[in-house]
Amino acid sequence: MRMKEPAVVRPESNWPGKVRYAFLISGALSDRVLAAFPELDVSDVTTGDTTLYGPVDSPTDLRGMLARFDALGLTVIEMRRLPD
Amino acid sequence: MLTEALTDDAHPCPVALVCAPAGSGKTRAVADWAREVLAAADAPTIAWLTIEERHNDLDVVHRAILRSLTDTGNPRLQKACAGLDSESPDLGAQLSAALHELGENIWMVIDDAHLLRDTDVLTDLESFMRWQPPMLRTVIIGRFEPPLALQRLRLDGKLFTLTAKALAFTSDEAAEMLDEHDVVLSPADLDALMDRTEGWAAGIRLAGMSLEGHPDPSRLIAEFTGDRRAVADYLIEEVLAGQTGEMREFLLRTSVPASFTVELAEKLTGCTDAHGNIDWLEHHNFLISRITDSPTHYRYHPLLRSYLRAEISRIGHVEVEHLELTAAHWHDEFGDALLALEHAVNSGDHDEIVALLARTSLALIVGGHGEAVDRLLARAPRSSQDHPSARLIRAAAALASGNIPVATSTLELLDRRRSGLLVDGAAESRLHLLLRESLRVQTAIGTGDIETALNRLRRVGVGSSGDPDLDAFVLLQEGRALLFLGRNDESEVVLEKSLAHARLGDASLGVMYGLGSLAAVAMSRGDVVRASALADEALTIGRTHSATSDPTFHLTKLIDSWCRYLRMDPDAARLAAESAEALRRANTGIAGFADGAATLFGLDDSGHRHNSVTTLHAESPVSSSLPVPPGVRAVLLPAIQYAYLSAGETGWAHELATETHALLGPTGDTALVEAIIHLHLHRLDLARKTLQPVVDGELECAAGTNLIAAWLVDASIALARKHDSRAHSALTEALRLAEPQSALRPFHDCGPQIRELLVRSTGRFGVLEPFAERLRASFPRSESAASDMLTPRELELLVELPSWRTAEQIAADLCVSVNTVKTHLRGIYRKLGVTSRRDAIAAAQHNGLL
Repeated sequence: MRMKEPAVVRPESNWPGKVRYAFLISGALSDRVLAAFPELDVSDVTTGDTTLYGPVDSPTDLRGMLARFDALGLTVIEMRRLPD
Repeated sequence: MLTEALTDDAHPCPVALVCAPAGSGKTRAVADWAREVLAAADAPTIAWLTIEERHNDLDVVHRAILRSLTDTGNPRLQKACAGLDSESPDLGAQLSAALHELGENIWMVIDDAHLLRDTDVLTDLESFMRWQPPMLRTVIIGRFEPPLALQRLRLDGKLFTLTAKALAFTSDEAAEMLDEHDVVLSPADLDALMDRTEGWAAGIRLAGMSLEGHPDPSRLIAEFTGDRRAVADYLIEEVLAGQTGEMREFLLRTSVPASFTVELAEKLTGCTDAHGNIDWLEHHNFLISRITDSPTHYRYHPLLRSYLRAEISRIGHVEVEHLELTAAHWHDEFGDALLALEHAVNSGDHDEIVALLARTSLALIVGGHGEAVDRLLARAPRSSQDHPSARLIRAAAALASGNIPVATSTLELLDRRRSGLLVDGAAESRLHLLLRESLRVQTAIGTGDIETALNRLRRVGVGSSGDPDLDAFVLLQEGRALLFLGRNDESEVVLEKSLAHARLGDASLGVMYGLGSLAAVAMSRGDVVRASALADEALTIGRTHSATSDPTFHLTKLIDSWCRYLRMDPDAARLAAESAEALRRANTGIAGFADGAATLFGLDDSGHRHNSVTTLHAESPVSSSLPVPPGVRAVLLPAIQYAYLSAGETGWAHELATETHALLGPTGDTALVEAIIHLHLHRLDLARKTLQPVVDGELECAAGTNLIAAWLVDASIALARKHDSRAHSALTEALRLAEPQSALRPFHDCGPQIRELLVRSTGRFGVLEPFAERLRASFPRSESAASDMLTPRELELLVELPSWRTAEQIAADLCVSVNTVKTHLRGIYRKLGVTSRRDAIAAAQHNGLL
């Protein structure tokens, strides 16, 4: 007997169209590092850490972003969705 | 520490997890540890598997695991693995059992496990780890914990974790690494460095690289400590600043591709002594590693590469584009079309992308890279995506994965936009036209209207482009179209040509498709020998070239299972079911056909026969809604018809006959299917009348095996009429036709009377006797109480009876006295309740003893 696959609710479909995230990265970031994230903006660095913010299109995109931080040896202290 | 955790007798941890961010030195640490372990006495066998993106496919990762086990060089392990089938869905369980039986200490290391994300692969790995044999240890290395359900193991105390903290370098270890760069720091400086880097391996390495030859180490450390940037960020800047301009350029340019050879480096940098530079980098531990392929590839540590690429994008866009294009051209020249395309897409140069697509699209499609190309093109600039070449590839990719609707709509889009092509300046290239019409034919097979599509294709001119790959592809589509139109002979000629072109162009996948399609033609004719040989060759190629997820591979497997079914091979049903499962996973519409075939082949073994027959009816492989070549349909008909009738479903049998007539017309196969019903309903005259033209040779059957079935029906009719000699000659004719094919199945389908006749006529088939004996042996022995009735000696004698030799002759043959034989005979007669040999034989058959 063949079972029908249950309908899976994919989180991608619940992701609103334009969402922005803010990432708090440990330490100051050189221009070189910033060049690796052309789609993100920098907010004022006051506490010694840096906040990068910008659009994130999907959960996959989010994971990709985190992987890119990791690939550069950066530590993500905090990440949050920005209200629009 | 790791060794203790894994080998502790009291509470051994079967799984160890090494999780730390990039650049923590995980791989190096575990590799060093493994080497230490192997050097000790009584060392376990350690297998190492480094995960790559492509391992997110169950078949691929299974094969990789088996290969890593055999690569260990342990002969017993190699033997155990040789017996395993990497395509079997329960490989995990089989492997577990095999390792358990082996009884040796095997440790398995899986590196870069964070790259695993496919659900099937993860589930498989999970269950394997849950039930792994007691002497197996698994070490998983990754940048973060892979989404495996390791929680369970953790809670049970069976998971040992090593994190960045454990991997952190101590001051002593750091000093050792710095020594490799001829750097010695004062204790204060060393402490400051350790403090800042927190023992992060990459940080210490980078510090070593930047401190090497530096005139004032203390100052650098002081600045470093005072700076607030991330460790890698700061140190890589230092490292780059400390290089000569030339070396800096070299580093930046060679970071564009994921890996490079000396030649590619020269092309990218314009430097004639790339080899010298690479040597220098290696010598100075410059986070560069070598992949011993041939030729040798080099690649930078991902951390370094990320920074180099970031730096490049800072310098200038145009430069980067140019470098990407260089890489693209290089790969194109050296035959790696996919990498070339990737670099071209990276460069964003529309003209280049389109030109590359035009040149390599076919190679990419036939090479099975359709899906990868699809993904790449999604990143390409809009104009490139909309270009007809790109659309064409996407259509082909859709077709390759069996997604007919997408292919159809893409082709329609191309049709509508055709005028747009002429605007481009050139008329649509012949290549393009050929590809488009071939794809249309391929789509038509799924949707109908094959004839029209085929004519269109022929008008363009098949098989004459001069490019063997293209010709093979186009001819393949033509051949398949002919097969689906039932024109087997024409199809075969065309497919042979396609195969020849594919072999010429050395396109292994093209060869596999050609062989598979030819096997389908052979199957349509009922030529088991040829179909089996072709299928075997095709499947071997598929496995050698890792094409086991290609739908054509599984269809060929289905053909193979049919050949086995015909030869009463017990594996037939299982193989068909596996193909069906794989086709369903690939989401193709043909899965329905495979399911039906699997049900049919598995009828004998099914517990509830009537239920299975009902399923067969619901998922009939010959249903008119499925795109099946007429010959293939014909081949499966008799078995299905007999199944319906034996389950008492006369209505379904009539339905099948009507459908067959509608789909195949008045062929021998249709007549056969009707005759079977008539025979079943005991309308002997009608059955004989329907069948006569077939056995007379006037009405041809599409399938050769159906002629065998027709003779068997003829024999059955004769038996019902007690025309024994007619029955015998019909049966002999059937045997004669079946013998070269080893086609046993038809004799099983048509009922017990044929079996009885076979037994009764033992010894009367002359040169066909060995085959008849094989047939008799293939019938299941019924487990009746009667076999307990007779003694073993009596049973031995019973088998000799149908030959009608005298008691004296039998005695001589069995080397016993005549009296012994006669005594046993009396015993047989008594127990079977008979008085003559003829009755004894009949009774024995009735009880299933013969």
